[in-house]
Amino acid sequence: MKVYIDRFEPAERRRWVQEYEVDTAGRSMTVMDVLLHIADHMDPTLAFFRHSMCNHGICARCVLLADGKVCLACTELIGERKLLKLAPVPGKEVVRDLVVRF
Amino acid sequence: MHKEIQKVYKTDVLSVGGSGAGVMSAVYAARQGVNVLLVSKGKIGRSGNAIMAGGACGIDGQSGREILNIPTADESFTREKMFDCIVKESFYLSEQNMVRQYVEDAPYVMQDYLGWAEKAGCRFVDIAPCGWQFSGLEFMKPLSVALRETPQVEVLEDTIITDLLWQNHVITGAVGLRVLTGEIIQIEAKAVILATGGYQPLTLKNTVSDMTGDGQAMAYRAGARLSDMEFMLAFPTALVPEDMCGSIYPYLFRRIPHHLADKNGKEIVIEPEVQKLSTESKLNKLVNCYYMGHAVAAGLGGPHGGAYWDYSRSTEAKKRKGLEQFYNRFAIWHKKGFYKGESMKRVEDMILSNQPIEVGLGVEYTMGGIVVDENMRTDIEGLLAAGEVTAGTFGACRIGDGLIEMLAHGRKAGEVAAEHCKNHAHTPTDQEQADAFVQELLSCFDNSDGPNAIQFYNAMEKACDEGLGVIRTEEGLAGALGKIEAMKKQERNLTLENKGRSYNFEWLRAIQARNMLICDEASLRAALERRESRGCHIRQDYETVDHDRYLHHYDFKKEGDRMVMKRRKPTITTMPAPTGTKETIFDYFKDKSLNYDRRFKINFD
Repeated sequence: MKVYIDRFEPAERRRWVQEYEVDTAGRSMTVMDVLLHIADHMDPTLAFFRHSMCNHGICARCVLLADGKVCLACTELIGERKLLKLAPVPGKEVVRDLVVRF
Repeated sequence: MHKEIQKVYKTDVLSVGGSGAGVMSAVYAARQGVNVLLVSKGKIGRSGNAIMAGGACGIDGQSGREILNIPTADESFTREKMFDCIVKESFYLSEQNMVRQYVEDAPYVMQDYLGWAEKAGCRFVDIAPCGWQFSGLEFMKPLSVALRETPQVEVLEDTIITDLLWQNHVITGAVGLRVLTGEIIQIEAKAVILATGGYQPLTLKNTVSDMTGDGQAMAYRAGARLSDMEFMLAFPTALVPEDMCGSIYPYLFRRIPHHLADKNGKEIVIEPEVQKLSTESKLNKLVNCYYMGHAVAAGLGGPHGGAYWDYSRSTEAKKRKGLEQFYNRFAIWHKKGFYKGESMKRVEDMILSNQPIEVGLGVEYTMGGIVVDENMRTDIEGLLAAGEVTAGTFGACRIGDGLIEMLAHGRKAGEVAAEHCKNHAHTPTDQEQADAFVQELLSCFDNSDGPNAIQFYNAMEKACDEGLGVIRTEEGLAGALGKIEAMKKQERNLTLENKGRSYNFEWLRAIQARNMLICDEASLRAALERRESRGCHIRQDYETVDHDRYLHHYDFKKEGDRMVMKRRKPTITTMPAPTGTKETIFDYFKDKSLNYDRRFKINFD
């Protein structure tokens, strides 16, 4: 599955879209699982809410835009997607990449 | 002052931790008229492990009637019986002075708590003998009310305290960082209350991601003792569907008749007397750990490392009734058919179609932690600890009472800390010490070619998976300890790919790795040294419970660069230490002379 993530580095005021290729074949994953896979195995610099996360849709802090829909990364299933576009949830100050201030 | 320290806070009491113990300590301290700063790693009421609770709590029925005037409270469950149960559940490793504090104080903090709960409009379900059922977030709502009623408490969220500050064995404050921006702060305080919760050493988690042993490690570095680090309470945790890994739904569906099975479909037989212990009692957690754990250790586990729950002998009617009861009850707090934020539909399909469900064992609570007395004081003047971060109340095994522990501890710590502040002046900060800690905190930004911090932390968890699981052996523990000791040497070189400060999770992982290495080492060494089984510590190679040789704690204290281990006998007030041995942890409970009986019956009708 191709993953396109809207990124933002505040120190350089730089925005860009980064592409990752994640093998989801035969695996049932949430958006959070994909993000964790990217950070843990491919790109540790990717920022998304994870420092105090529940992973089961309780704390509601991992909210983001997945394919244009506002959802919680930890409960949003990838399903059969071959393409996933992630962006920070709109209307909030972006801290870095997918992390917003609220 | 180090140029990177961007702000200095001055207060009387610094409470660290945003769940029950932290909020209660801040509220009760502030009510005594002292200045309080409450710092939380995440958001108050939305972080810490209590939000994961499935859950229920209670006090003794005698206090329920006498103090809380609850007419339905079962008076036959007296304060003495509660005390008796906790000590017996601890396998006599409880600090009996702390159990006494818990039993005496719990009703009073619950009186206040229920008042806040009413204001919050909380929906709790009454349970016997004197308790309440809810889902995690609901349990947290009264804490927010308490904070709102105590506006003088200053709150900092998304902030991690990284090091305590002290001078001549007296606490002077702490340093930390704001997670979103990476700003470094210094806090000057007369008293610090660590309420940072438990620690999670393993990969499979039914816990929030906050549980990184920060409080334990900081207290240890400041010279306080850690104890009982080998005792971790595990219980059935979901492995499938993979996207729901870590959910506690299996435990909540345990009332639907099922049996345990191995990867070949063969039943894992539970001895009938032990099965009896398991029904209607939270001893079912220990029973599941023992039998499922042994099957997996024997190579009979499934592909995800779990054993199977087989519902095929249950009738469809019983299954549907169990599911309906669950859905109806939890619809009070969640969308119907959901548990927390996850739909149970696929699980329901597995149960109805007789597909055996692979279930793992995840650690939900650590009995060990920072050594405190019944006033929540550590060995360091001005440093207190409250809640799961402490050791002492529950010894080798906790059956109930964790949620109220944090409330009762928090209240006590807040009041004691406030009193301390009124009787003491500020001890000035050793700025050289603070600057050195800040320098160390930033040092990983200058490292190169060392291990990646995120992968290093994952490797630490994997190392512990191999030795610190539910069923332990000399070989497994020694192997894991060897790996952790080797990793200790690499910790200074942890390297960050992102050199920015803003939400830098690699940096957080480096900080957490430093903390967890301390917790992991203490846990592994204690588990290795304890060559017996007791409570939640189950040794495959030493199944006997041996009161003659092992009725003591293993304490850990920092001496120079070394972690020194010492034995310490538990504090006894009214229940004398048992002698002799029992062949297994269940023989201990089956022993009629133990006279142990505690029921938890949640009525789903």
